[in-house]
Amino acid sequence: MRILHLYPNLMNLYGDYGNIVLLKKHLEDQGIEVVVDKREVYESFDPDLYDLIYMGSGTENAQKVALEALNKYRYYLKKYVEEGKVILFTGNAMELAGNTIDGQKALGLIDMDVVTSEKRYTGDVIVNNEEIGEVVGFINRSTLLKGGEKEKLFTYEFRYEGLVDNDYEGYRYKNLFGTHIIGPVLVKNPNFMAYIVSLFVEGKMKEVSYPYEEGAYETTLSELKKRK
Amino acid sequence: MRKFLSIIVCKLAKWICGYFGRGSSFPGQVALKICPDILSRVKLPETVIAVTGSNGKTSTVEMIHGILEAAGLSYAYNYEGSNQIEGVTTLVLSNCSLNGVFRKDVLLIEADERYAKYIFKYITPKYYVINNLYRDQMTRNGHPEYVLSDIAKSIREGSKLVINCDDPLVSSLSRRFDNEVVWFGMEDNQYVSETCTSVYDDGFYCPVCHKKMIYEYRQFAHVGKYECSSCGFKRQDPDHAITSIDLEEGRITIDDRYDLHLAFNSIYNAYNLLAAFTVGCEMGLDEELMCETLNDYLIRNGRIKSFLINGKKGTLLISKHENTVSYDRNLEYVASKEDVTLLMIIDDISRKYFTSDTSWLWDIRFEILNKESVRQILVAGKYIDDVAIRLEYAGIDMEKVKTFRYTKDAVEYIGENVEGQLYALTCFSDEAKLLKEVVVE
Repeated sequence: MRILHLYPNLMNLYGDYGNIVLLKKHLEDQGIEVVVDKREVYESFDPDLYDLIYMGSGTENAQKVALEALNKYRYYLKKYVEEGKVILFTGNAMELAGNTIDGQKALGLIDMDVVTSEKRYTGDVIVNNEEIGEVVGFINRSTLLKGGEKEKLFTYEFRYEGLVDNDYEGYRYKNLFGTHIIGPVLVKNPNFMAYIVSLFVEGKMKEVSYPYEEGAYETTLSELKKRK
Repeated sequence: MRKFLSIIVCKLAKWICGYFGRGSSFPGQVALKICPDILSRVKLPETVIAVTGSNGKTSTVEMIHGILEAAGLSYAYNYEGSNQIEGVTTLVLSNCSLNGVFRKDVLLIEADERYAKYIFKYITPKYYVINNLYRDQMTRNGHPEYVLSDIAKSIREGSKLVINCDDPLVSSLSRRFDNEVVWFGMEDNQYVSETCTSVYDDGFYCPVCHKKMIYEYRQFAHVGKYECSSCGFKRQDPDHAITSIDLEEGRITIDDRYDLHLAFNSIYNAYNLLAAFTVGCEMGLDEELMCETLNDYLIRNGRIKSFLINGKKGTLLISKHENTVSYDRNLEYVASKEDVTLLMIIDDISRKYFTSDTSWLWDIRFEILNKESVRQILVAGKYIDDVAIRLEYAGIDMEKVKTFRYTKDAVEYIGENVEGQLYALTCFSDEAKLLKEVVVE
């Protein structure tokens, strides 16, 4: 399979690249051959060549630059998503999938609008999805979201006091996944990682143990639960 | 009247706090309650020097203090590191007469990069040093561009900016302000690299127009000689420069003229020293005397300590968690030694701001440790598994890595098993966990 890591130097504010390097390893552990291509904003790509497209977090300015570059692919990405192919947007890359960001046209894949706020919202979270389970992470953003409830990915179990725009977090439409959680969210959550990997495995997954990843997850989950 | 009350209460509170050995921000906090704009009501000296940036603020301020002392000037500075408005208020008021006249020749301020905008709402520094901007405690501070926008809010008309020309992010401030700028930087040398050696590259895109930036060379990370491929933004020629550097011998040359020895062999230390020298030159201080003072200048910031475990000597290096440059610097130092065992303690990520976020581990270049000379890596604390994942990805032979939930167990292991040179690396937030288990020299 082929992974496209979009804008890895622009949108890599919180060690987000960790998602892709570990995802590659986990897929390979399932016997899947993986090629990762990287493209920056001044380079073009053909979405049809890929099975998974990933983008991570960037600064507010960087996000605008990414949006401008990606808007050229609006039509192709819509088609890509409708075909059921996988996109994962983490951190503020997730905002690109909405209708607008501060009134500026975005990809229009999710019925949601993004508005920059004066305040920055930062804090640890636990979110939950029935199929995936509890996911831990950190949110660091300065935007509020409107809409997107129909495609919600997670519900909050624990969050920082200030984060109150919605009761849900992230989105999923077909195999387009988005979460505001920053950084290596797949590394930190073996269950989320396994879920994404399972999308590419036909039949039963091979059992592979990842003691460090499981240990790290348990540690953070129990730390955060103490604070609930 | 409120001014008088504010000053006297601050002085009194300072005296009481001093008696109980307490911190230096409380008196200022009380004074600000009484008179919120007290800093604009006092008479400050003509020379106010301020220093901000991500790393090296305290060191730079210490060195400026050294050259002021040598020049025979009287001065006051926030040496206890209380670098927000409360601490600065304590500093100013405790050096004022009761009618609000600052009684020293020079006021020297270390300013927190996020909070400088509040301090300099009332004070206009004559010289404002902006050292650098790196990823630092992003869970609390926000990212460097965000911090830059805060620094921009702290810049007052009439301040002369003293800027590191090698850091594109801070240099981009000169595009936004008409203030006079004095540039300092480091010239090409044998240590530069053509490509970015860090895990991430904050110099990849131009901070002004976000097009690709081209580097002729880099000193480290995004610091070097750069030029935007599109808008023409580029490194300015420095007014004062490190024109040669020898890190093995710890020698630098400033402006092709002054040879100095460094007390701590690092490129970062050289930058801080140059910033102090540049300020001194702007003030018209005697250059030779400054160099004499800065030669072998020992900074007493306590970031290196020696300790003993079961008679074995170890060196403790302090790196701030969530601060890549400070980690990379210490990892490079450790990896340059022979036959090393490294103990890393990552337990409380932040002293003040509780978080379980470990994404910053992916920004640190643990690949540096992938060397024969690094014999063992011991990791202690709550986040051992997070560190282990990162070390494994860095290609480190996991046979070399041992993890311990508690520092005490790691210390016990060291006492029984470790030979060779021992280094411990941790943050202020976790330092005590080691120090209570060992004999501090």
